[in-house]
Amino acid sequence: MTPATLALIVGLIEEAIKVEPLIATELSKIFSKTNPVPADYMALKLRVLGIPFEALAPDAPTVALDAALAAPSDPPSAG
Amino acid sequence: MKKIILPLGSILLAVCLMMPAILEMTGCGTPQKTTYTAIAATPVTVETALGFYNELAKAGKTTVAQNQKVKAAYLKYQASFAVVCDLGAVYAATSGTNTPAASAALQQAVLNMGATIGDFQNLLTSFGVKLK
Repeated sequence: MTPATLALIVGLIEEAIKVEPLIATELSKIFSKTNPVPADYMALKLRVLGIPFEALAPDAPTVALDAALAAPSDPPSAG
Repeated sequence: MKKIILPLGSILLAVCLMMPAILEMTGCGTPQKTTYTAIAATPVTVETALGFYNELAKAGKTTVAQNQKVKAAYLKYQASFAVVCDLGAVYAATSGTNTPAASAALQQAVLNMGATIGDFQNLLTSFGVKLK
């Protein structure tokens, strides 16, 4: 990682702790971890893959509202 | 002038991010733990940055096209992080043995992930997110 990226990470961690104190708790757990086992990495992978963009940026739609409205809806059920 | 206060966690993180390379040179300490620590702390930074972007979006200062680009960059980061975790698991499984191949593969994957995070960072700042 470049020094700039490193500085950014440090700054973001600082902001994250200010914004959400629970992050400090989570980081504390990470730092207190003893030697990791493969399951630790798998848990980390599942955690990250389990958070979709929409969950972190719910106010940033990736589909235009008019396009969504123009999309065909479900056909009416027979009967 | 704004007083700069670095929390202990941030300082530790910075040290840990640099430690794997240092340990590679000195051969001391527990590279398994420091490598894991650095990797595990990474999602916090990405998720925080995305939270800042969401604030912009909430204020109506982003476009759908920008959101799509940020989402694509986030998906790319997720994919690179998954590769890091897969190789991290291999590295952890070989704990206690001299495994330069596993270590080298993991380090390369971390570098690749760093590049995707760099792209993500550049994209967000180009769209108006103020990152330090």
